[in-house]
Amino acid sequence: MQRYANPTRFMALSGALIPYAAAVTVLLFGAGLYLSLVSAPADYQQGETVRIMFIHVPAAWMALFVYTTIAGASVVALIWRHPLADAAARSAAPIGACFTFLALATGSLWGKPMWGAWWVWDARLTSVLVLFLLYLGYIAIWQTIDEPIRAARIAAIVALVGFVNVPIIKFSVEWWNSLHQPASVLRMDGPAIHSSILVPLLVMGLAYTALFITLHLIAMRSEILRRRVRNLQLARLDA
Amino acid sequence: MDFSADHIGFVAAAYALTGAVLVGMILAVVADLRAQRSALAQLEDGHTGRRRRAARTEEPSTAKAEEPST
Repeated sequence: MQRYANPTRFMALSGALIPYAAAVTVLLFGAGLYLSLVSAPADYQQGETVRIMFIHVPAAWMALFVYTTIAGASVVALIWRHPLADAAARSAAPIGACFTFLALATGSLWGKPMWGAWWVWDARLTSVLVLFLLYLGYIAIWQTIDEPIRAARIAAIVALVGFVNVPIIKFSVEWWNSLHQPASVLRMDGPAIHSSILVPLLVMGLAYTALFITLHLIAMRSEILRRRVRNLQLARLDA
Repeated sequence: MDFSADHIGFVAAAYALTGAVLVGMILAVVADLRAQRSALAQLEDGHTGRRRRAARTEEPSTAKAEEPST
């Protein structure tokens, strides 16, 4: 693992992987959209509105997954000071913020016809809104602090402090009274959803994951190049 | 999918918004990579250009210095 974490090796490896990751993403989105919009039946209670779940639930999964990735990379950055860990954390944040925004916005578009409200101060909704604000704060730290080593350290600490929100989001539906249903896919006794709904949901989940991997690899390459540009500019100023 | 079903507008809006955000995110990530590549290429061109110019100006004086005096 350490061998591939060298920026030069990473550039070579990611350059080879990105076309395959992009192809897998396109295939999974094609299959996922077909299953979500054509193959899946309307729900007996939600009607056609259930189709929003196929894009809302994976966005919410990715919001948590990407933040967990940032927290993991931040631990590596703080303890081992690995040059790629900061780049991995920083480049994941805007992607995670987009997924979180989609989870909130599509949830709102589902909530209006189903609950009769665009927004309620429910524990799950509020904790996801806090996650979105954490993403924005994390991005703002990188944007406002000029010195990269200082920015990386502060951003990593903020990411780790904010990670406490991830289990709160996950278990909010069990700890507090919530309009949201309890976990129905990742359960000890198996999913509580019929396969006609579960399969499109899982395929869309894989499609979102493949998209994140593809975009994260590209964004990490940009971040490595940005650092090279900065170093060259500083060297030019010194000369 | 039944296009005349209740609340179909909410479904269409959710898919349209998701498509717009995901496509926007892809374009932004790719545009950033291109911008960094082009900035790096410009800096490296400038760097090698300066080195070449410096080498060119150094060459004649070095040759003169090394010329044996007769």
